[in-house]
Amino acid sequence: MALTRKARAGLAPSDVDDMSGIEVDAASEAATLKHRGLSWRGQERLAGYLLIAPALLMFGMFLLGPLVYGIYLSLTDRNLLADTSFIWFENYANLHNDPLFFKSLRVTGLLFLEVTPPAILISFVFANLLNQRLKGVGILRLAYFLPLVASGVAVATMWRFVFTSDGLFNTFLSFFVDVDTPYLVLPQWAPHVVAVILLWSLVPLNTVFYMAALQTVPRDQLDAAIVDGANFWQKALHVTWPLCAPTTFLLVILNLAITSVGSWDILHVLTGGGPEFSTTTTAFLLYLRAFRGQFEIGLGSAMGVALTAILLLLTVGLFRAQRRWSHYG
Amino acid sequence: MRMLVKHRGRIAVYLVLTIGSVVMIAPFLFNLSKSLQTAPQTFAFPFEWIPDPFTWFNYVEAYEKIGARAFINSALLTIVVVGGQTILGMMAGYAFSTLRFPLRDSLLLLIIGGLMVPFHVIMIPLFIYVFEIGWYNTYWGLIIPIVAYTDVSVFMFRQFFRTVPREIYEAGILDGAGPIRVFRSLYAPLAGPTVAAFVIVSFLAAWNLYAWPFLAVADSDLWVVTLQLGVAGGTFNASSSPLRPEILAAMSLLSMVPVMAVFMFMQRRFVESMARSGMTG
Repeated sequence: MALTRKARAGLAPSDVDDMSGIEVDAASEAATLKHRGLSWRGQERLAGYLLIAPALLMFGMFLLGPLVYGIYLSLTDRNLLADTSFIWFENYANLHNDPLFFKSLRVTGLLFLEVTPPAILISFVFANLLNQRLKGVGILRLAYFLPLVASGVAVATMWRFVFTSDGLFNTFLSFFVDVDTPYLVLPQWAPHVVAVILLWSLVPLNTVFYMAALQTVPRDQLDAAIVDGANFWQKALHVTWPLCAPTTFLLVILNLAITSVGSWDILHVLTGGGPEFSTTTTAFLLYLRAFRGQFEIGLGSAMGVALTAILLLLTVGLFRAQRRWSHYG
Repeated sequence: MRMLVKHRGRIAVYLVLTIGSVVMIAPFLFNLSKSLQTAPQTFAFPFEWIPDPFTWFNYVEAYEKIGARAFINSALLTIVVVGGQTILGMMAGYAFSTLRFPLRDSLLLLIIGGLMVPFHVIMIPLFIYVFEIGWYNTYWGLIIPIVAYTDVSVFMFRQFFRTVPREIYEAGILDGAGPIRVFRSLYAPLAGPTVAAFVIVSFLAAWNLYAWPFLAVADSDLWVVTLQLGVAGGTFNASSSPLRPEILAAMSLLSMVPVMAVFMFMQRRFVESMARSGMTG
């Protein structure tokens, strides 16, 4: 090592290691830096903090701040009508008195269970089909992925007239039977309509991720399967599906997030949580509590904290379960 | 006969793909057809696909209903959000991947942890907070809080800058540049493809935002396109008379024109970008 004692003084040990191949010039360069004020290492630190400062500041102001504030609000009885007082955990204790809270959890859970399995299955099959090199597949792909661009509001507006009594769905059914059911105003049908719409918008999204995962399936494994005489379905089932397991797992979590919370926009425009609260998910209920009726902001916040906790626990639980599967699988 | 057997698989693939694509595009075609019809025809049952007589006029009314102001507001929101998130994400992504400083990984974890908090839940305290700092019903309150959601951009840029060999950083330092100068002259220019991917994804997300604009502003001068559409077609506003279906159909298609244009011209890139942004989750 040709480093002088003086230069070495300005450098941390790890920097010296990094520079082992570099000549004396480098060392004197580092020494000049030190003369200008800060050491090389110190400059790096300062720049690091300066560069993350804007993102961190915004994060603190508009994400972490409101999060903490929300937890605080959930411990108060804040509403628009009366003065706010601190009531500790009363809102949480009262959650079970809210006639809609458990119902909303059930609506949320059923929506997730109704949408996720078919979404994942259909997406996986279509990702495999779209991945083939076929003539004219480009135009099919364009149509297939089009729902990706639609906002929740546009989705809700476009589908609204599909499920009216004289809508597209009943037109389709009229080839077989005569029905004039107005699906969106009947509590036994409305949640399923929401599920169908969510399925429609989630399938292309899930397919995107499966197609990306398929790019990473090793060519030789597929070739080996072909040599063994596997057909398309056997390849998909025995080679691709197991290799896509990490993607499937992430998609379950993504679908959980979208069906439980991300569906808010669609619900707000399509059903407003009705009829008879049959489509009021917990994420929608907390909005109704905080911004409608009595403006019970404390109660709404408590529901928000509870929902976040439930989703976090589910996600962590899924991660644990996945680790176990991949151990024994 | 053998030819037929050989082709059977391929025909089946085309058939399934076509059915899938038709189902996916059907609501768009349904609305396109409705939007070109005159009022009496939209009530026909069974539904008639071919507009007769054919009219463009619904689009004029739809455009007036949304208003140029809403398009400008949406564009403003989108530009500031996309630009802000890109710049913040690039800077932080570079620092988190290349520079070494105490607490680096904990701070990164904190920001990425933001992904775990659903926006529609945090919306309530965020609204009260924005109200209390006097930003309710202003462009500031509408736009700035959204810029703060940099979790995806920070992670995407960090993942990219991690692939840049540290030798480049060291070479820059040895040439006498500071770490920030190295970022501007060496690292940022390399990030072009990642910037493109992120811009596509965040453009779509920002243009389609609905819940926050719905809460954050009251004045219709500050409404964005999605809000105009939501209010016109929504169930929540009982006092407003429901709009005619053909106008709503035209409005919903019109609201998607900018994102649809991007999608049509760079479909492959679009899909790849979405996949890349999702890898962060």
